[in-house]
Amino acid sequence: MRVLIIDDSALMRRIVGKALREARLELEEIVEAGNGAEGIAAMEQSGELFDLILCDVHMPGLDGVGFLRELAARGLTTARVVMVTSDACDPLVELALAAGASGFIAKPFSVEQIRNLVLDLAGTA
Amino acid sequence: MLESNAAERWQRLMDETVLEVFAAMLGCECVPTEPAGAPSDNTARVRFSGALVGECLLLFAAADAAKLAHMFLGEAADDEMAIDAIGELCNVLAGGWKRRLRPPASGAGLSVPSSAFGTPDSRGDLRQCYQFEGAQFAVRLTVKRVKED
Repeated sequence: MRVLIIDDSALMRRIVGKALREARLELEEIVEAGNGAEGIAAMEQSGELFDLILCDVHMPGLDGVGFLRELAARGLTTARVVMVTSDACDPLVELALAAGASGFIAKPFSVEQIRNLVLDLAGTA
Repeated sequence: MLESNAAERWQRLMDETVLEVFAAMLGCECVPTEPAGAPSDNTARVRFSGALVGECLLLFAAADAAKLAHMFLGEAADDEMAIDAIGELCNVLAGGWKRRLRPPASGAGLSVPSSAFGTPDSRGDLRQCYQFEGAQFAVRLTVKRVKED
């Protein structure tokens, strides 16, 4: 599985990556990006598709919803985009789901929640 | 000036949020305490907008911010990562506290967290210190306007 983590917080990218590694999933590669624009660039530079994208909702520059809209506009496809948010009541989460996100995970989350999320998505892919 | 019953409820909701976040993300207990120790000059801020107008500030001493980052990552962290850690904690606490309010305030907007060195001007309407694993930090909540059913 190839995973792209998009978050403006370097700490959060490392936390999510650590959770994925600790979740005993079959990971080929984890790529990190600091905002939506960097995420788009990472996808365009990558020769292969990502199986899963974990994307922060609020970021300076191109945010999570903007990233999803840009993906659609450029015809970039990926298996799943899951939004990561500290605010499950955030109206932007609804916009992200409407823009094509497969789901969201709210912080604080545990390693087990990350694992279950990825396995659920793999089962419905 | 906040009504005392509202202030008490919001304080209780923050205590619950802090306890939940530290248990889930760091696997440790974090409880209210009296302020003590080194000056808290590492600051993180998240602003609320919409049905809730105000802000949530976190203040950490540098050593305690480094400890928080170390606990998040499971390894030693540099100053930049420590500042990032308190910004992320502020983000999660502000979101968790706001979610516990009644609508429509629970649906208010959150800003991107900002972190900086230095003590903020704002004293906050609610002030509480918390301790975890021998470290501590302060939360200051300012509520300028709120709509709750």
